[in-house]
Amino acid sequence: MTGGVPTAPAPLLRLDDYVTALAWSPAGDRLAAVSLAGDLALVGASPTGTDGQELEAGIHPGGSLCLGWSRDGAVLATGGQDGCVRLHHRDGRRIVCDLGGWVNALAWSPADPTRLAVAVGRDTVLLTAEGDLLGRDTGPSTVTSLAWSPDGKRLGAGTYGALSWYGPDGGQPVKRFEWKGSILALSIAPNGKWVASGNQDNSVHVWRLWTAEELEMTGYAAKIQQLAWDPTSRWLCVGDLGEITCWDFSGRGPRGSRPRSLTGHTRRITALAFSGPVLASASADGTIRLWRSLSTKPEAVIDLNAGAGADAESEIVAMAWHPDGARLAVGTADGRVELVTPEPDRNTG
Amino acid sequence: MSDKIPVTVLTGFLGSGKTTLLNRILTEQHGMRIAVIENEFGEIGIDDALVIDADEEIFEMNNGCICCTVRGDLIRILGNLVRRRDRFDHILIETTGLADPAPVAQTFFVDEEMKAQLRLDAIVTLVDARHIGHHLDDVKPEGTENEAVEQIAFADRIVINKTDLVDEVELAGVEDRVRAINGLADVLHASYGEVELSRILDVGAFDLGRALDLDPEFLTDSEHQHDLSVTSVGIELEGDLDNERLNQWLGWLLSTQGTDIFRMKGILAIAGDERRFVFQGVHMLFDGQPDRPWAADERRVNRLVFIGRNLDRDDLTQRFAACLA
Repeated sequence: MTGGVPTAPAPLLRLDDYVTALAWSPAGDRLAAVSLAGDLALVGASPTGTDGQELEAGIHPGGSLCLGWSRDGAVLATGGQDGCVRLHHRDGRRIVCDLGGWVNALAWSPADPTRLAVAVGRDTVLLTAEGDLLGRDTGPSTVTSLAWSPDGKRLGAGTYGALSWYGPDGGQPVKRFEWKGSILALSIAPNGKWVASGNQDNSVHVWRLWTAEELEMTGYAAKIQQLAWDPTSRWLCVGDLGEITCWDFSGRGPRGSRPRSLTGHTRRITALAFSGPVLASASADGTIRLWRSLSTKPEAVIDLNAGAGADAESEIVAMAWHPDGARLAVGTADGRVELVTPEPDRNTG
Repeated sequence: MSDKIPVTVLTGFLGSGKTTLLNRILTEQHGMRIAVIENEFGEIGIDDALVIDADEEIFEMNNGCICCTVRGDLIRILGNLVRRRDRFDHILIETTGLADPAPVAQTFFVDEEMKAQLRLDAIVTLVDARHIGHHLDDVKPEGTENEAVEQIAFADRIVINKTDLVDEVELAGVEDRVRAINGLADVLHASYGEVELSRILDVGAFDLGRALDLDPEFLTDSEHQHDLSVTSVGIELEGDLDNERLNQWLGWLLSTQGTDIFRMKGILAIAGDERRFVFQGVHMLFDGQPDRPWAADERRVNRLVFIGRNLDRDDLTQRFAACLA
């Protein structure tokens, strides 16, 4: 089951601790990764490999938790347990905003490359790329997740008890979807018609935008933190302890339907991401699986621990497609960042 | 189980000596990597301990037929702690003086990530020998809890602290009142937080694999308990239980009185099973498993203890007796 694997590559990067997040710049020329040691690593990526690395160690004491590139790639934002958002400009400027409270999530506007939403403790904060405060609203409980509508006109913030919606400048919420449950993850369909939340109570909740018609998928084996819509907005994929369920939103929607089930992972799914018709899933079991057109048979299975000794058990905990769709960056619980170039697997068919 | 990180929950009113005890643990257990999660600004005097401030966030969770409350802030903080490469040997959670211990305890039983990597070791409640009487007598408005009573009811270990400030008669009175609420916990005496740490750390109070010693007999004396709404009820009954009737009764009991039952523990003899069945629970969360076989010369005696609000001893005993095969 390990066909199609470029055999155990030397890690691209070795960080000191758990890789909490990684992301490619929109142009695909740089990869950024952050860790619980509070480090930020940047790697330059050329079409043939890598060229140059830089490490900023311990920039978020207590741990870096999240990161994101502005739409134009001019600014990389990182946030951490120290309550700070750091804006790393391409031109070398570093702007630090101390917002107080854990920075749990951040999200750049898809419409405006100078607008950044940040979840800090119970607050939803809107900043400019220069670190100026546009708006700040304190909610009833910790903001765990943020998601922009594709047009950049609405920002959703998930908390316990509600999904709050803000305008592009933040401030007071313009709308609230009340719901008694604890939201951990948010994902808006690319066509802007649906928003899905993954929840602490082992469920997925879906609202139609903006009628607020609700759907609920319950009975998962664990809390839900991994959600991904396919680029056509037809499929919502949900990862739990080892299974990926795919809900069909075409036609009359998934109400009353049975989801497609993609099985094979043996431990918690830690990342889901589409590149065109190919879904990549990463798991604590150390493998990445590629599912073309959501076929229940994976196109490739890449075992990060293959060839690394019998007791190797790196858990993959972060993953991101390169914009060219040909490469993936993955991060592990023990601090490795690897570049994976999958090829279709002829041996699993 | 052994590779899970033990977690001790320290509760008690302001002034009961939590910070003093915490500092003692950190001083005496040096060499251990200990993380402390605090809800109040204490004065942790140890530099190499990792101290994290928590902001109490209680979430209600509805999971099928089980309804419970958990602490969302703890799930986040502990989730990040266990991911770190430098593993901790022990985690201490210090709650606020007025905290309800139930959501803290339940957090460890409903979240898969927590269950896989952490084990709740014990709830340790400190009481101030001089002032606990007033706190227990404090009349609360209808529908709200007396937090001092709750913290004692939930405890696995109760440390009566500041014993140097009371005489023997007063101390005996305090101990009687504490035991009337919670007949399961070990009660320790201390001044300046000086307790033998082996009696409060790594005690495995929630571990069904450890020998469960229940002696409900002393709980049958209800003479001085009639005016308490939170009490312990012990049941001791010899004979084999009909598994189906037992399950029905327990299911009914937890669904109707789960919110009033704070803690429960038991050792049961199931008809046709050579092994003892041991269980424990927090509100509606129930955890049970077969234990060692009954010894050849051992009487098959069922022992149960409930700690809760408005428990009806006669009704509980009668309904339990009806489960005998």
